[in-house]
Amino acid sequence: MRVGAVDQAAANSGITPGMRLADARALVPHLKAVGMNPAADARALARLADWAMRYTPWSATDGEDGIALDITGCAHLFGGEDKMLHDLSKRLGSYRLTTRLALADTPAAAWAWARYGEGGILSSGNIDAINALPVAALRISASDAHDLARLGLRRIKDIANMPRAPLAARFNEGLLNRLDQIRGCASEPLTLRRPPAPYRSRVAFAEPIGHRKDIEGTLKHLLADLCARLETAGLGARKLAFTAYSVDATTQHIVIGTAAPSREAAHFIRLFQEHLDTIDPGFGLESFTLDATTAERLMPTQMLLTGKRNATASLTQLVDRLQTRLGAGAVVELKPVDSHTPERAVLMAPAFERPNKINGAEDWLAQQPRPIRLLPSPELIDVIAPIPDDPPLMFRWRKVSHRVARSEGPERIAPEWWRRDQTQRARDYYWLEDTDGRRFWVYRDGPFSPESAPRWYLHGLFA
Amino acid sequence: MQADLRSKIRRLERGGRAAELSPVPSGCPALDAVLPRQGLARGGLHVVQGRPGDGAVYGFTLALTGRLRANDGIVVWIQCGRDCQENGIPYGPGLRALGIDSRHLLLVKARRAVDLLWSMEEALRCPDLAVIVGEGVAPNITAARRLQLAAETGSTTAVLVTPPGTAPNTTALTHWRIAAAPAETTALPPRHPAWTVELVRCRGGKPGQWRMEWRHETFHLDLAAPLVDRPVVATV
Repeated sequence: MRVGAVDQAAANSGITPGMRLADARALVPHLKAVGMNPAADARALARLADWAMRYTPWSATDGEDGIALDITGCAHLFGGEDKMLHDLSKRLGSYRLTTRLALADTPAAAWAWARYGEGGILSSGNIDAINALPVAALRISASDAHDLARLGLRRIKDIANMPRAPLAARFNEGLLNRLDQIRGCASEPLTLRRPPAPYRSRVAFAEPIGHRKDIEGTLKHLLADLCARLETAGLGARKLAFTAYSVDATTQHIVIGTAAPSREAAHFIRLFQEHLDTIDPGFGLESFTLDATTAERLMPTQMLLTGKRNATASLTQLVDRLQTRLGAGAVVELKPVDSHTPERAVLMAPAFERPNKINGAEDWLAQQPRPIRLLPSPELIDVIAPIPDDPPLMFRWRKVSHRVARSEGPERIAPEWWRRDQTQRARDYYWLEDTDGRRFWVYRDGPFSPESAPRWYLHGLFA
Repeated sequence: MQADLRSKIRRLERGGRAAELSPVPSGCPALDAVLPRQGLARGGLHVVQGRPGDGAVYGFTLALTGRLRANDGIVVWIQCGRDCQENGIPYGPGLRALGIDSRHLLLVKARRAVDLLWSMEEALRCPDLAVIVGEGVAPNITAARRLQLAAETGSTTAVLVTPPGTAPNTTALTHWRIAAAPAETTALPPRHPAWTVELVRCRGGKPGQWRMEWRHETFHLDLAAPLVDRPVVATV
């Protein structure tokens, strides 16, 4: 068993990562050792990166033990870069995390300054400080660093002014790329935790809040702000995400979606109210953000003089409310599909979705009469029928016997041979009316053969 | 003069809420004769009762919905998710014969009965819809009253399909009991569905029972032709 990571006191006693645990115990008998859990560490780091989004929307995890934040344009909200860094370090310290913070012009420079430099703010354009760092700060492989050391190049300043061609020949492109990145000549995009939303409202409280009434009031305030900005831009939101940041560095989200773009705060607040109870205040919620993650063009609707609005607007809002409460996909339209197989002839498409042109047909394909009700899965029935092709004389469905008075058929529906997953056989459909007057749609699965009696199923009900 | 007085009374009963909707003829003169104001009333609650799994109930409800829609507006059909295998789901290609175009239909699947009633109420308040049909739930008096109020507020019509054994509701405008009726003749099977339609209770009208057929050529209900004394012909 080896030591994976050490704290400051252990490092002072001479224990280094990679040492055998037995050796470490020999050095420090009263050593406290805890099993490593890399998966849990990764999850905790991800949660911390999410929490750090209270400072900036551009947050990413960096390796196994770091977080990278792009605070371009956000520093003034916290009173300047100094104050922001101070606030960040104070909060992380209050969570009992030992951290090294650095702020620089480029991600590479910040990485190097945090791990190999003094930490803190690296003023813009301060090349000398970077050049004084060891070459390992360039994030190159150990073998490259070893080769550079053999050549006597130990600091960045040693290679900074060398001609590029020999360097590229001796080491691969990576070294030059890293040099460019640290100087800001090459770009280094971060893989963000969550891409920033085009429209976002944010509010932070000096004292954390917890009452549902207060949370609702905050949401209304954020909605009013966001809807006003959407209106000036001529956009409507289709998806909104409400995020609550708690004092113990956790975040909670509610996401709602609408069928058509909208910017009516009243409509959105009603959709959010369905789910507001899922927010658990815990120790207190200190800041909230509202993002419009999907926004689309929406023309202004004029109120008619009578005060009535556009007719379809209230219908789409009703559909939004139903889907928010009953679940996405609860409201469907029936669309015809180009298929003879009865269960595939209908597509239950979510209401008001963009039409799918691939399989869609203009009108129902079936020419023969079809039942008004279809059972989602056909039910097996026991049938007495003259062989081979005649309609049944009597059948038993759900433990009730029915004697057939009249029938019509068969209508043969062949399987779709072009579908590769075809296990279906040709079906012969019959319209049956029993002595009570009830009408059914039954089929025989496959042609009759003396060896194996085919099965009969009930598929639908006629009026 | 009498009609004036009647409409005044009706307005008072509504409490001056929404504008009144004119009744729709059912297409069957015998039925219209017993209904108040000679037609199916809109802006309220109708209850249709029948055995679940019996196609006749759904057929009659579709026919009724088609007439109540009066060629204008969207129909919302709400079902409980649990009953889908038991009773089947509305099948697009077959609805056309009963007078409902699937382009004017929205299907809603609710999880529980309370969600179903909530959805019905929300939909009834939306003025852009014509008819809202709820299936598989038997409401108590309070729920029926709420549905009636919501229908009046939104100027829409509600139809409830309830399982048998429900006592006739005092709040509903009409209460029907439907069963399938065997065909009269044993000749070639006619495609016209035949039902035994019983109007159990009607607010302002007379109850009655008829045997009706639905004519899909003209989308209206018709009294089945009277029986003729004839020797029975054997099935083909």
